[in-house]
Amino acid sequence: MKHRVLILAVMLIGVMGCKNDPSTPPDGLIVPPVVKAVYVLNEGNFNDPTGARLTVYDVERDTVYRNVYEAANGGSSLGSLGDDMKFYNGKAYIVMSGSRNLIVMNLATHRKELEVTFPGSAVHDLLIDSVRSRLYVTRLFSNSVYVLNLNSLALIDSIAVGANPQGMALSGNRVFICNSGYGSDSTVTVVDATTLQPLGTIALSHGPTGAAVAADGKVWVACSGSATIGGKVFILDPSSLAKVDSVSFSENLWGSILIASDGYAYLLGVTPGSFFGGPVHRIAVGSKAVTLNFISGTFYGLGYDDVAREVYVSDVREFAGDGNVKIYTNAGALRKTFTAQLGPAVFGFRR
Amino acid sequence: MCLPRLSRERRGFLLLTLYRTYLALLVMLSFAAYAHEVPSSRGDSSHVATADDPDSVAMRAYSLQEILVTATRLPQTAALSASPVTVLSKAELHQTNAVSLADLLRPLPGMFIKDYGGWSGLKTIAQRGLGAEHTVVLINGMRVSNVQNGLVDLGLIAADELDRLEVVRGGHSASFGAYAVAGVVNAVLSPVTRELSVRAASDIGSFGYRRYWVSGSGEVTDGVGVRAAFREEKGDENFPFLFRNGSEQIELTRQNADFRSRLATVQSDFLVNDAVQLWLCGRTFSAERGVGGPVVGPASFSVARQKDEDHLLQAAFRSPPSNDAPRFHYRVGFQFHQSYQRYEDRAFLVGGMPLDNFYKTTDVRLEPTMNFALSDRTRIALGSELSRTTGAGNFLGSNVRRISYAGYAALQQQVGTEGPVVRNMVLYPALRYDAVRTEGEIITSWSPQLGTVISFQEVGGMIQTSLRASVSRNFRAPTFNELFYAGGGGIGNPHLQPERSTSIDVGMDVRLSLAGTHHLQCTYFDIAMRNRIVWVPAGSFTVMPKNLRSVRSTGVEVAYKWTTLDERLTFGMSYTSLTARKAEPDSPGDPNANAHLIYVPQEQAHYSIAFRHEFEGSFVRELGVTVAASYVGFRFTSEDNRSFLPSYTIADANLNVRMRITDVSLLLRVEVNNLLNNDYQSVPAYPMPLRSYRATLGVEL
Repeated sequence: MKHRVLILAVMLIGVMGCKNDPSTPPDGLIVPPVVKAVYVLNEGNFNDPTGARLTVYDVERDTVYRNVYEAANGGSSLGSLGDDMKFYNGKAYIVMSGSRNLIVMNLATHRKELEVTFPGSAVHDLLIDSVRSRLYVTRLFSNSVYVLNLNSLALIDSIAVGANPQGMALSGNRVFICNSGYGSDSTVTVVDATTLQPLGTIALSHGPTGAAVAADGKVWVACSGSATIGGKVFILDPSSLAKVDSVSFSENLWGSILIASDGYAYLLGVTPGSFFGGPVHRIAVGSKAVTLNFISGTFYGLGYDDVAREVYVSDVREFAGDGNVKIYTNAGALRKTFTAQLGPAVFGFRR
Repeated sequence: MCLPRLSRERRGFLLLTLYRTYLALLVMLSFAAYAHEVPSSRGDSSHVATADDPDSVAMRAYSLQEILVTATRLPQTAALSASPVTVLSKAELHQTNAVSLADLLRPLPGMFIKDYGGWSGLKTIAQRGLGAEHTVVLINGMRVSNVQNGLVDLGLIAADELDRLEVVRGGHSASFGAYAVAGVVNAVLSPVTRELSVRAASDIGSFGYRRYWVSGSGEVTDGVGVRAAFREEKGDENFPFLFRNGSEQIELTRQNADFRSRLATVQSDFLVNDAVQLWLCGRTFSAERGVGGPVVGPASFSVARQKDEDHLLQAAFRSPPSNDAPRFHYRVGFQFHQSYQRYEDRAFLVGGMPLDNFYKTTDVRLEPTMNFALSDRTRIALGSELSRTTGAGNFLGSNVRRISYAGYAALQQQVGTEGPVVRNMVLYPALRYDAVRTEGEIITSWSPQLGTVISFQEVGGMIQTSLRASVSRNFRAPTFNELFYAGGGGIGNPHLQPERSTSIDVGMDVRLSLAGTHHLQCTYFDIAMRNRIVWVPAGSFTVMPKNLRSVRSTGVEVAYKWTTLDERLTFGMSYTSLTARKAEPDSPGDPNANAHLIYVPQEQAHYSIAFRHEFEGSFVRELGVTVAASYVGFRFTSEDNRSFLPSYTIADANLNVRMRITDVSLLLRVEVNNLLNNDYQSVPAYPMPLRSYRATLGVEL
């Protein structure tokens, strides 16, 4: 009987493994008060409940802080798949498509102020209407857009739009919503920002994905194209909803587009053979002259620092590890590279 | 090895002609061998001899109770296998809390089950650090691994329909062709019995679990045995689990994970004449379930539904069972297998249309095989496989077809003579040729294997030791999805080459008779794979599979079992330590070269203690208690090995009471799963249930 007990004891010990779990990567340091900082929203791994991470690049101290949100919120993470981030009135509005939540974070303390979750379809893109204190959130797989109160995040309305809505832009009192359909839709839905009533749809080209507003109020929409049709940028008159101009590309476009203070529209192409973005193209807003491959490479995210007049791009390295952020002058010269976290996708600039 | 450069049509014709010639030769040889069959003699190296069979040197060390492993081309006892083998008998299956094949495989050495949660979640095998597509799954010795995606959902094969489970680890393409890279799993269904028996059971368990099961078996007419069984199983699967975010911990309830399945099986066997037995088996399974999906936030739940249908018809003409050790055994097996799967998600609109994917795979195969003794020291197996598989689905470009031909030979050769140290040495050379023709493209492969077992003289009348080794070349042909997928986000690559691997196993078996019987099995393995197929970006918004990865998986497996003399108490334990790495960069500058493969636990341990006592002449005839625990080490979840899922330990227990009232047996069984109430995940974002219960009441006439 004695040796039965002994063997039992040995077996119980055997249940414990020899190899300890790896130590968790250290959390970021608490970020000191920053005046000039660039916030990088990292998507994170698919199916990682805590994968969305916030990296902060302190421009003045030339220092990068990782896991900023976790460090300021007792280890709680933003959620899964960080997809969009907008700043307004000292707050960051951050949306996660995987965990279907929206977090309002104080930019001074990095602490969470509000959070709301959206059962059902993934939420994907944000648009702030500061005039009417409204926040628009696209619902990627249910063909609709939620309209929330900007301060309380209370749901005001839900608007039916086209397939797989993504990028949005606000010009005057009209909201333009890109119905990407992942290449199968080709329309933009226009909504009255006051009444929240649809004003109509504008047929463009395959995959309207990103939208931006130029200084003259015109709305630029980037269409990604399809397997057989290249990308195209349309310029829309917000009043008449007419297509006033367009720029065609032989290759697909990634979808991101922004109009910078230097008079150029920046957008991402698609690198043949890549699933993770493409080079930066540039279009002169006035002349519509195109500079293809203004910055060569395969970039997933795109941002522009209007004060420093610098272009920010991210290389996600095929999500095989932490991605890099590269900073270029608006003449196209590389100024700096720093490492962010897994899947750097969206930039926010605090000045 | 490639054929000479001929046109596709010409190569196909040549292969077919060769195959037909070979088949004819095989049939002639079978009859010739049968015509010369002589009564079995002592010392036949294939049969399980008794200890008092003095001429059977090769076998006498092992008892008659050893179970023949049929998941090899030359059926043999586990002790004489050149590869590590685990066989679970009906009694051992009954000791576990298993609901499905996944639960039975989980505690075995080298085995990790990727479990997507609960009874309804997908469960796939990951053996020795490789994927589900690298293990062949057989039912009654015939392949059911799906050519569509290379997977078998182990949760859809019920534990209670099995009579025996055989697992042969290591590469075995020389016997089973494509997919047999990490091992072979053979699920043997409950057989037809001649004595009339009727059994029925009902289960009730946590989260709405219900099961009803009835079976009957007996001889319906002279010489014709029939067994029929029906089972219905359902559950709500709305189990609680913990969602963690930093210090925040929320108890949530699993949503949309309900399931309902029905299974019916019919088997029959009868003697056609003295030399031929016909065996038939039909199995039809259908299931409808919610797909809970990943939980990545408190509000994330799915409304996706999945339907599965699986229809299997097997038939075999074979040598009749005999108590004598046969010098010749043949089997001509036929199988029709159809799988249908449909996945719908009405909340996932792409281009305005809800996601609705389906596929149907139909596989028809003919497998003649025979084995015979050329002498007392030599036994040979010859066989072939001819299969035709068609695939259809709305994410395949068009209906696709695969025709496979294979021929193999395996030899068991005793070498040398008994010496003072070495009792016996047996060599197992084997060779198989496969030609896989898919939509006109032909992949060919020669798969050799050489194994050996060296048995040593017994020490002190109580210790039996043997060494075994095996080296093999193995391959895996691409699946239909990898070749022809044309759904959203990806595109198949019709020019894929097969994965190739070399597998080495070296091990030792020690059997000790001391206060019962002890069996220790230790194995070192090394699998080096090239051309592993990986889906990589290949254009705008598209991924495509390519042959680009090299993988090296090495490790040690230890299994130990002690059964006391009175067989009332059994201790079992297994331990696996493995390292599976990306052996070379996927592309120049790949920063993750040499990184560990994701979702592979580097360490696992399982143990179980089973107590069983029989009472003579009492109302309670048998009492059994089993406690089992499993430790699964951490698993990296990112390619750069920066993130991981933590290790976990879970324990299960059950109590069985068998009672007898006149001629009726009653079974009462109570199970507790996850006794320690641990929150854990096998796969990221797929929660596993906390503590749960199941009770069974069964009756047997």
